[in-house]
Amino acid sequence: MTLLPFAVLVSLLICVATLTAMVLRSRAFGKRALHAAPVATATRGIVFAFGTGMLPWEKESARRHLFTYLAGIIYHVGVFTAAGYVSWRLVFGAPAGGSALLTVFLLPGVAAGVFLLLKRLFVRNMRRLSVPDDYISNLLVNYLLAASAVDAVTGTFTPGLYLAVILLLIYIPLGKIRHCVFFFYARYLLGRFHGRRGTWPKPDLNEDAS
Amino acid sequence: MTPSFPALTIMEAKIRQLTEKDLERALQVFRRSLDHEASAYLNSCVHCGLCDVSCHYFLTYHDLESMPAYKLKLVTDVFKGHFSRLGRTLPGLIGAKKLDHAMIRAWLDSLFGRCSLCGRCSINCSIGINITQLIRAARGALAAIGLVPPGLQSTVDTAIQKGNNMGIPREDWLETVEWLEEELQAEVDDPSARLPLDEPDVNLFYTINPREAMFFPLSILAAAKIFYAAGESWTFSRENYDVTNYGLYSGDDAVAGTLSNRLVESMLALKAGTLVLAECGHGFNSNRWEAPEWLSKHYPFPVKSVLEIVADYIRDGRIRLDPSRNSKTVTLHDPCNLVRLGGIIEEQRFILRHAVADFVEMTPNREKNYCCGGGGGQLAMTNFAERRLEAGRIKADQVRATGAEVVVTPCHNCIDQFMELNKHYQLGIEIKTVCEMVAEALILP
Repeated sequence: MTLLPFAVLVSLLICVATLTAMVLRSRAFGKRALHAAPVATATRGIVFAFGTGMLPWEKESARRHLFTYLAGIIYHVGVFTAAGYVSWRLVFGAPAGGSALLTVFLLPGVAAGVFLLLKRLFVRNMRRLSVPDDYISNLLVNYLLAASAVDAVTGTFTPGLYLAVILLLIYIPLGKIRHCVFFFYARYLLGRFHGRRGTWPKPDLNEDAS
Repeated sequence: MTPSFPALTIMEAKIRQLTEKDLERALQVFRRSLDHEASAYLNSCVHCGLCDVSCHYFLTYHDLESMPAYKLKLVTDVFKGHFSRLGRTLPGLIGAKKLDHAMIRAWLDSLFGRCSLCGRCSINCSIGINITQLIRAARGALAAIGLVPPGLQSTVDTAIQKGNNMGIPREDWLETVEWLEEELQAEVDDPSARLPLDEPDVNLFYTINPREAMFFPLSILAAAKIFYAAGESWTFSRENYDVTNYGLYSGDDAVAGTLSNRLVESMLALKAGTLVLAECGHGFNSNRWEAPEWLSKHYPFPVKSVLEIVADYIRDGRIRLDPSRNSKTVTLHDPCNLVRLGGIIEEQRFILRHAVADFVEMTPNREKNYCCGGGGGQLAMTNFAERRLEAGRIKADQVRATGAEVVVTPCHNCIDQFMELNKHYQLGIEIKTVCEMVAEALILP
């Protein structure tokens, strides 16, 4: 194994170990038993939170910021594509062919990332809301997507790609990209909250009962 | 030094007097209020800013300070600044901050002055952060150092000292019940009709918002009339009848638990079957969902909204209604604490479809409805009254768009806010509770 792939694996280990420690630390704040009797199962709320509850017709914020919402989806499709591509590259080496097709997902991802960055820079409230981490996270991910695209087409940008992966993996626990773990945690909890209370999903109307 | 936030002028002296020890105490209370859920939420925000349009304050002012993400950031910054290793090491990178006098001002202005704890931002959050829960935790820290805005704190204090948030003396309450009983007897033409007090072993233990006793006694009469028509066995308490709990809004869990526990004790003493909460949004959320957590106990009895009870009466044929008696166009406002945070969503609609001739929905409605602006203790915090009324424009516009002549809302805080919105925006509407509409349509046996 050459040095860079080895460094990627070490970074991955560091990232996973640090995120695990963060989750454990978070759990160390203590779990409180719930005492109020639920009106519905939490499960339905959790399913809703991860499904329909994220779609624009259910979520007004997504609908009213549709362009940003779509950019976010495209961005994340790019991220997952890059993750898959890098994983393939590490395990099986350079793809025999056809990897250039991945640019269909990677390049729009880069464009979406740049759009989100520009929005953060030029919309006053967004700029004032932002901290350095917001920009660093965005740039690191943009670099990963761009490096993946270049390597997928040329097959020669592997060192640059691995460097992007290493930087990103090391940075993930430091900044907001930790939401790759906490997103699922938070969404699960909110789904449980509204599921138990019968707010998510909406109850069926039962006029027959009248 | 001039205060940074004009609305805080009356609190500025208190803020200036805060010592390091006070700030440390606030932090300790904040830390104690955090559990694994809160910690997960505090690690999750990505500053996407999509939540902005979900907040009626932001839709009114379009400023950073009204963005839910900013309000949350005020809390996460302090969390990171004190309870995160990275935040202590590299505060500039992630915006970690210390809880100092400037942050206290920002907390007061945004977390009390620009938030009604309505929870609309939470369901609209890209991640799913329960922003309301975190803002309430920060309010609790401010409460620990005596920095709850005075109007709200005095409401809490009155409830603790006098047994109800309006400070109604016991004799006045008993006289009101007696008078309302006579009214009921006259209205139903039955001298045996009663408003029972401290009756043991009944099905329902009924609570009210003390504002009803002071200003809206007809809404008490309406509920009593419905119980009479349904042949219900029920009772009021001589002492503990207050459904409200402003500890929910001040963030003080201990006080909130004390207030809710009074109802529990009366329930147990009277051996009543079900604790029934009057039309009060935050009273419902407090006593149905939050109080068992504040008190860390499972209730040995069911807790229901009076809307669930009335809906059951209609379903079971225990009461009959004539909707033609309510012929005006009626719309419904969904109180945040009852609907989005409480799960009582369809009962009021089911009832109104049977009680009124022309019912129209607001858009949006149900759990997506806008806050009227009266929640979160806003009605009690006079220093933020101007903002509350301005932010209520969203609701006023929603009402206008329905063309309704009557706005029904099962919440007395909402009713108070609507009364002010009615005047301020010249809506020309009548404002009623659900029970009032039902009582009007009731076909007496």
